[in-house]
Amino acid sequence: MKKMMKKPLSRSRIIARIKFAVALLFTVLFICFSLFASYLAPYDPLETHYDHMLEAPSSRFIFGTDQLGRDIYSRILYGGKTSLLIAFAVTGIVSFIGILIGTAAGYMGGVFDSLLMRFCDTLMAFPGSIFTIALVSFIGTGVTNMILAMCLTSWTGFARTSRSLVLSIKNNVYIEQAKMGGASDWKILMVYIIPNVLPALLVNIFQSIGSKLLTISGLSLLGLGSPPPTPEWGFMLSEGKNFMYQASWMLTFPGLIILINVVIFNFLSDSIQDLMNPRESVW
Amino acid sequence: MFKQVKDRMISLLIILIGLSILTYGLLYLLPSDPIEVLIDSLGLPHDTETIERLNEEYGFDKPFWVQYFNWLKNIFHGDFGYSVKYSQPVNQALWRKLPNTIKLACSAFVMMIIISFPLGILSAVYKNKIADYIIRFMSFIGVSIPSFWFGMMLVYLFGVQLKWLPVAGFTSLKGLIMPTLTLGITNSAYYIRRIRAVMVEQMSEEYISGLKSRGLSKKKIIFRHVLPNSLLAVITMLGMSFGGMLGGTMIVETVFGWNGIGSAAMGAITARDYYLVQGYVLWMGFIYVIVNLVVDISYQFIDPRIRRGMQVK
Amino acid sequence: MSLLEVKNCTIKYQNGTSAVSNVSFSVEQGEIVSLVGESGSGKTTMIRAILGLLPPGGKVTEGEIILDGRNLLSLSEREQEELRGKDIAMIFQDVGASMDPIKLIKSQYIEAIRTHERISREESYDKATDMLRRMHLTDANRVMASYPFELSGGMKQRVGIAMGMTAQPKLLLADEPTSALDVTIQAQVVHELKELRDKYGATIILVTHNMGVASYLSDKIGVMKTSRMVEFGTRDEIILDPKEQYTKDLIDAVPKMGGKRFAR
Repeated sequence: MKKMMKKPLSRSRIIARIKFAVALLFTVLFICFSLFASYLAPYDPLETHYDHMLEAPSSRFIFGTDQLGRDIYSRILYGGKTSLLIAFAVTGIVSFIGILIGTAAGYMGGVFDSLLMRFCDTLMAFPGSIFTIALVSFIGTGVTNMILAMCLTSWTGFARTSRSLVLSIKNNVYIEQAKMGGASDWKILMVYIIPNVLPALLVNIFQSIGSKLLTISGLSLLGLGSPPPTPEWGFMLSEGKNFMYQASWMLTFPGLIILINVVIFNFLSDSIQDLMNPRESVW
Repeated sequence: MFKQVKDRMISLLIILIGLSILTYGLLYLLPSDPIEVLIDSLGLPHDTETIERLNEEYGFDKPFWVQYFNWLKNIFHGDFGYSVKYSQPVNQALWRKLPNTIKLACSAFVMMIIISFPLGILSAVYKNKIADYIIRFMSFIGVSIPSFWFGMMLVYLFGVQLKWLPVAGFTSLKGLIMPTLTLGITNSAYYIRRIRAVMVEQMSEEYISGLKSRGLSKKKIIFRHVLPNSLLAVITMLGMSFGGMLGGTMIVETVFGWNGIGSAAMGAITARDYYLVQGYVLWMGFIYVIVNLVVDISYQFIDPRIRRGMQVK
Repeated sequence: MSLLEVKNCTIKYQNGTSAVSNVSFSVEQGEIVSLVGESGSGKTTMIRAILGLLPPGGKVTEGEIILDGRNLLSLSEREQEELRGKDIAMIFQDVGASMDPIKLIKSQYIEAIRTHERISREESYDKATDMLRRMHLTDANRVMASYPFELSGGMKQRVGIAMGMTAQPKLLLADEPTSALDVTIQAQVVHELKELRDKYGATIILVTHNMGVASYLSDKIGVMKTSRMVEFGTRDEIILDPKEQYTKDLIDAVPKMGGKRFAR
């Protein structure tokens, strides 16, 4: 790897860097939109304008208004705050727990490892997000419970990936050397293994943010997210569905925003993949 | 190979046991006492007499494992509890709606194959050409698009604007079209990417040089060699995608009002009909696991390297 | 006129590195010519270029490769396909890896034959088994009904040689055909190659890092080092009177057998 770095940048490497820069720019931009929602939003997302119900996009309400005359643009900005926050929180927690458990299992092997893998298999044996949905419905709706349910069901992916990454580097010479030098298991894990598997997992982490955004909007569409007046993209869609005939903008804009955000995070994850491994990248 | 099938069976058993424990455990996550839920579901009065009687019958005062095994015994007898919402045993309520879900999942699956195979192959064969870029761009959007929104936009476009297809009342064959399109198209995006990746990988294998050195044309190499080898690698993913389909039916059925077990479960969630949700989760997990097993075993028969006893990896 | 002439050939990869620089040599009808050198010296790239099978990004930037008066570099894709396997055949270092892993030898062999000859499957099958037997694979029917992974290394190389020779190509390229094998099997395969020439008059270019093998088989030897051909001459010139230090090193690297160098 180090030898490769010395070579002049090949075309694919330059493209990968540009792609990453663009992806990063957009990510930061969209995070800022949500972060500074309160400054950017022209209206209070909960403020109703009864004389402007179901109004088509105009210079005053650029994305139009909903059935209560609330400004959709402002609601989308505020909704982003909730959605992104949850997505980041879940991905953060899940990747932390998953990587820790996965690397430990891969490194230690034995009974712990096989038990863990069986458990992962079992959790993954529920198709799609069915188990997450069921969990939320049993422990109750709301943001905290949604985060809890998503965490409980989605750490397994990270555990599996990091485990297999650890298995691939576990027998490297430098780890053997550290072992012979008398380093404790904990130290080897923290100093030699986790820092080595982390870069490869970055791809998964950003991809996970994208897919969590989809799950979150799905859950809130089903009414399992935070209770109504709170603006949430998925819930806005389910409201929009009822006004399809009169106000298509209630449907188009929240959906487009979800799509754009997921695209951005997937793009970021893709560009990191390219950056790390321009040759093998098929995408 | 027999040993491999046996191993699969054992891990299947473990997964099924785990699946049932997790599903049963759901009841314990309820903020309220499971016995209260049971009383609600049976429509009985909340008095000490009933609680005592039910405790005796269902053993709610017994340890978790005893209760679990009792529950499991009931499951084996086809007793998944009683659904409040549908006023009938969970089993019956689900059975009645299962065909609709299977219909949807299967037609979406077929649609996915019809879309993704040609596009994936095209994309790999014309790697880094215009067609490839277009397909890649579309599938990239496809994996990022929320399926429910895509479905809603289809309804808006074909139902509201063009008035070609019904907007509501998705029961007829015509009503199957839009949910199928939604599930099929959104799921194929992922698949196109996989097929392309697998084929591109196959095309860089050494045997391609071998075939070329014997003078085979590009077309023959792709259709007679790259494709069968790639399909073999794709087969294992088929089971998983079918699971994805099943999982996706819940939201899509709800969005389109398709009368399957997914929308039934959704209705049950709103109605706090916990036994039906529990039954639904268990059924879906079961179906998914079995489908994967079938795919796995058939794979062992199709791949000559395994069939003829070579250990792959 | 020589059967094959390589003139001032330079092959570059996309990133600008030359795999082969300004290499020239010629091969006469019925000769065995060896290209010897360590891995990365460009010898494999050279013969792959003759077959038009350079890895992606590789390109012959200068020079000519002329077979029987035809410049191979100016051929169309179709003409190249026509040529491969018929006029020029190749035996790979690992023949097993050069075959479709999930197709029977039978189907691949018949397919290869029918690519260049308009004959029935049955005729192709007979032709194939006949060829396998000539390569001393007596149980030819069983070989035909096997998958590549079911054959031993030596058997696979023999199948490779048989498949290569079936169309009686003008030129046979052998890329390290023995280096993946055990020593005893190596000797047998080397013997097989020698027989090809002696019995059937085949013209062979052999790529090897083993000067011993080259010395035993070749009429002419080319020594390659870091993309250049440092020495080219008859077997005796190279083995008995090497001019370059590098050639001497290669000869010295051949293990002694019974106190005598196998090479001499």
